[in-house]
Amino acid sequence: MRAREGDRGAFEALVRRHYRAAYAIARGRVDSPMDAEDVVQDAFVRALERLDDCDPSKFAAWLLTVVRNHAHNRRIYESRRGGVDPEEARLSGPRDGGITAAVARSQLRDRLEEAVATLSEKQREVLLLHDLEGLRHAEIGEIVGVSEGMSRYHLMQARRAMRDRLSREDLEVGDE
Amino acid sequence: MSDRREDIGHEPDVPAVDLSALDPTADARAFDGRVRDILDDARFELARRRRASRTGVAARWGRVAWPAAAAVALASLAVLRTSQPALASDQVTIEEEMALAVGVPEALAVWVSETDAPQISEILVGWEE
Repeated sequence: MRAREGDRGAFEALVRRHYRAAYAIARGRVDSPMDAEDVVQDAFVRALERLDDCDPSKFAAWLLTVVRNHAHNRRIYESRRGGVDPEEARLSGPRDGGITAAVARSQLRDRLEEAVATLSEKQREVLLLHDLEGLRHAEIGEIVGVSEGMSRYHLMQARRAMRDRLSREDLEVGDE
Repeated sequence: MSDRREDIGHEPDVPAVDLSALDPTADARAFDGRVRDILDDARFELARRRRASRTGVAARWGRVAWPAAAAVALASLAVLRTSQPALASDQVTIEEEMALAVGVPEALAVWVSETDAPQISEILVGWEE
C-alpha cells in the first residue's frame, strides 16, 4: 500500500474510492451532513496516522470502523455541547466552499435530508450503504454489525419511512 | 464499488427512493474541494511517512548491501589467494627468458628453473617440438 509510504496520490485514491461509504456511515450516526463530512475528514486523517495497524486486504472494513468510532465520539461531543439544532442541521447541508451552494440547498436535497433525519441510526446506515453506496446486505451486515436478514429488514423499514415522509410532504404541498 | 449497484431498486417489497441528491460525490467540484481539505489536513502525516520511508529504504538497502559487499570481498580474497600460485606458475622466470633468448626451445626452457633434471627422452621430445 503506497499510501503507507506517504504517497499523496495513493492516499487521494483511497479517499476518493471510499468517501461515499465513509459518508454513509458517518451520516447514519450524526445529525447533520456537515457534521458527517467533518467526521469523514477527521477519520481519513486518523486512518492515515494508524495505517500501519491495518491489513491492506481489509482496508474498507477497517476504515469504516474508524469512521464509526469517530462519528460516535462526535455525537457524544455534540450531546454534551447541547446538540445540533435540527433545523440548523437540515439547512446547513454539506459544505461546498460556496461553489455549489445552490445545488447543496436544493429543495430535493433538503427534503431527502429531512426524511433521512427521521430514520433510526441503523436504518440510516443501511439505507445509505445500500441505496447510495451500492453495497450488498452481506457486506452491510458485516460493517453495521447485524445479520443479512436484519439488514434487509432495516432497509425495508427505512424505505417505507422515507416514502411515507416524502409522500406526506407532497400532500401537504398539494394542500397549500 | 459502483459495480455493486445492480442490487439497487430490486428489493421486493418497497422500491428504492432515488438518493442520488444525497451523494456527496455527485457534485464533482464540491467533492474535489472536500478531498483537497482531507489531503491538506493529512499533509504532515504524509510528509512524515515519506521521510520514514526514505530512511527505511536506506536502512533496508544497507541491511542487504553490507553483507553482500562483505561476501563479495571475501569471495574476491579467496579467488586471489587461489589464483596466486597459478599466476606464479604461469610467470616466466628470468632463467627461462635467458634460455629462450639464446635459442633454447620453449618446451625445454622451462626446465632451466626446475630443480630436477629432465630425462634424455624429455629433452629429445622437447627439441622435436
